[in-house]
This record gives sequence, structure tokens and C-alpha cells, in this order.
Amino acid sequence: MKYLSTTLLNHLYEQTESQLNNAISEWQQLPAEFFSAQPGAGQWGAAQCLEHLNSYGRYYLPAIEKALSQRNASSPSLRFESGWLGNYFYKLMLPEPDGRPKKKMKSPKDHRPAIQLNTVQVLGEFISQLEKLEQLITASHGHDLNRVKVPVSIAPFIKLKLGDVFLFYTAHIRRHLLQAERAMQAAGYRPLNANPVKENTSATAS
Amino acid sequence: MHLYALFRETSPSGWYTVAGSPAKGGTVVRTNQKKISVSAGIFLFNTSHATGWLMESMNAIDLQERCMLQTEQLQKTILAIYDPGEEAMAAFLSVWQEGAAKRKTILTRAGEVERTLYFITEGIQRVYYYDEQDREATIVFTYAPSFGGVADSFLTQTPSRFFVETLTACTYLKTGFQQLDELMRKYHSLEHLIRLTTNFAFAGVLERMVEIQCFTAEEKFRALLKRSPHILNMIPHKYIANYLGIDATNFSKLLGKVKI
Repeated sequence: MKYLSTTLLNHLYEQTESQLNNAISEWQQLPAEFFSAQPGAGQWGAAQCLEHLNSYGRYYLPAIEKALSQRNASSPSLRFESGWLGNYFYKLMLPEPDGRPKKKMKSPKDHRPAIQLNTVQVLGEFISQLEKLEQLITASHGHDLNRVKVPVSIAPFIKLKLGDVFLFYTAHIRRHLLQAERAMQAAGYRPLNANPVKENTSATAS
Repeated sequence: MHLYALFRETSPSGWYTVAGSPAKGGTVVRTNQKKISVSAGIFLFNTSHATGWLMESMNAIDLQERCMLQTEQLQKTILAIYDPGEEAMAAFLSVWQEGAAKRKTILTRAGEVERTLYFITEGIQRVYYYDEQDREATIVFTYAPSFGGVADSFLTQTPSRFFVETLTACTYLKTGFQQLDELMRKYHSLEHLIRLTTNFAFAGVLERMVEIQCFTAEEKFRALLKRSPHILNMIPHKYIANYLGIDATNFSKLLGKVKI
């Protein structure tokens, strides 16, 4: 799959901005019960979904930042072409058009969230991570999305192109934000905005 | 003040340059120019598309109106403080340029001299202190329509002890110290205007001193909500908690207590 680098980065930025606006203007104001409620036995509540995302952010955001700092001189390239493995991960994360995941997956042990969580802290960290992600996307405009490589969390000896990492990382966020919203709705939450998370189901290909 | 923006019209299609001044209106010129020189950042939609650039299609009238609105906003704010007279006002309004910044952009760093005075036309910014020991203090939130930047560093042209960053996407007008200084020397009424403005800022600082020394967190929060009720659902709460000097969990408890 080929993308125009700037178009891709702008698309991911806008998507993140809309998720961030939703978290700031709505989720921040809600009582903790919406986040702690589990929709069913063994099913994650919204806070658990966010904590799961946070656990990946704690790895990927510094990893991306480090990769960008090592390739200071790299000049941007017009196009980004996804690698086969990166594209595989990305497709795996993509939700179906109805917002449900294609395939249920079991989380690795390190990324399974506790049931008892400080919901304020979890949401606060999630918002900070999205702020950081936006800064990294902006910084990436000056870099080659093909040549900057980031080691993946499950196997650090495998390095993927920065563009692929952005694609599957943001698709993963979308996947679990949708799950979080379903959990909150099961607890009685009715969103003010028409589901901003669901927009932009895929990045525009050139 | 001149404004250049390249944009693409859908009908008739092609590239155009808009050049003009917000006070006098703009003209539209067809151009083959592919590179963009923009002094007005807000009109730049830097989305690469095929070859060349794709700008969000926007017609000249919208562009002009948007620019007029910003200057009008500034004029209105000034008149609420003091009317410097027609000539001085025109001179004052002519030294501003449009600008824009994304969320979480640092506009001024500690150690730098603040060369710019901002007039925020959209969005929220904060001035904060941060040091090597990881101590952080949010001094003030600034938001539209009001002035922004590090006031003391700007007025004295000495290094700032503070950072300024945007907390939402922002648009603003900006001007330099030199330009403003020249105007203040030329027009006594503008000097008076700036003095009144700094008086208000000074009074605000003293009021905040009382809040910091005497008020409980809840009282500080109520005072903030009275001044700036809208910021609660526009910026992450960690910044408000930092402004109040409490942690995020305590802030959440406060929010539950104070909210109607």
C-alpha cells in the first residue's frame, strides 16, 4: 500500500485531534462509574481499555521519539510504502465498518490491565499520550517515513517503518476507543457528539 | 499589513494568490506559482496532494472576512480599554500579522527574550514555569480575545523565566517589540493605552497573589471558574490542577463537589 506522506500524517493528526477533543470536552467531565463499569463478566470496562492503550503508549511513544532523534538528518520523502509485516499488523487492528473488531485477540500478559484502576489517572495519562502522539506526528513531517525504523514491542529485534508503526498504533487506539465507548454505553453513557471515534475508518491511499 | 495566501478554487479551477490588507481589502490574482510564501499561517493548509499543493478551497471573500474579524476583535478589545484616537488606532492596527499554531506548540522558551506580543483570536494558551527539578507551575491561562506572551520579558526585553505554550489549536495576531516601541514613542495615546493594559495585568497578578496565599483549593477553583468558566471542557484537567496547585485525583474530587 502506498501513501502520500503528508496526506497520511495530516489524516492521522486530525484523527488524533478529534479523539483528543472528545476526551477533553466529554470524557473528562464524566463520573468515574462510567469508566469502571464492566459490561459483562471478564469484559473490560472503559478504564481498562484506556489503561491497555496507555501500556502500549509507554513503550511506543518514547520508542518513536528515540527513532526520530537518531535520524535527525533524514529528509522527508513524498511517498510512504508500507511493508508487508507492518501492513499485516495494521489490517489486524482495523475495526469492521460497524466498529467491532474483526478478530478477538488475547492481550500479552504485560498489557492486561488490572480491574481496580484510578480512572482519573488513567484518563489523564491517556490524554497526555494523545498530546504526545500529535507532537510526534507533527515532528515526523521532516522525516522519511520509510527510513526511520522503530522496534516493535513484542519482538524488539524486528524493526518496522515509522509509517507502519503510526498506522497500526493509531488503528489500535481506534479499536479500543470503540470498545471503551461500547462499555460506557452499556453503563448508561450517551455521547453528546455523534461518535467521533468511528470516523475515518481507514487512511487514504494514493 | 500584507497578506498572501495561495489557494485553489474549485471553480474556475486553478491556482490563485490573494494579496491584500485587512483594512483595505484584497485582490485575487491567478498564478502558476507552486511554492507558497505565507505570512498568514492560518490560511495555509499544507496538505500535499499529487504534485504541488492542495489548499483547502476558500474564496477571497472568506479569507478577507476572516482577517477582518481578527483585526476587529483586536480593535474592540482596545476600545474597551481606551480609545487612542483614529490616527493612532489605525497605526496601531497596522503593525499586526496573523499567525497560527497547533495544540501544544511552545511559543516562547525560558531563557529567550520575548520579542512578540500576541493577541489571541482563537484558542487557549498557558504561561508556565518549569525547572530542572521537574517543578512546574502554571502561572496564567490566556485565551481569546486577549493579549498573550510573557508580559514582563516583552516589556523589559530581558530573558523570560517562563514558557508559553498553546493548549488548543490557536490563531492569533502578533507584533514585535520594536514596532510597538516606535508607536509608543510617536503616539502618547498609545503609550497611555499600553500603560492602562499593564495596570490591569498588574492588578490581576496581585489578586492572584491573594488567592495563592489565602484561598483553599476549592475557593481558587471557584474563582477560576468565575473568570474562565469555558476552560473546563476545553483543556486537559491536569493543567487546571497544576494552576490550582493540587494533583489530578484531588482535582477530580473537587470537580465532583463544585459542579452544578
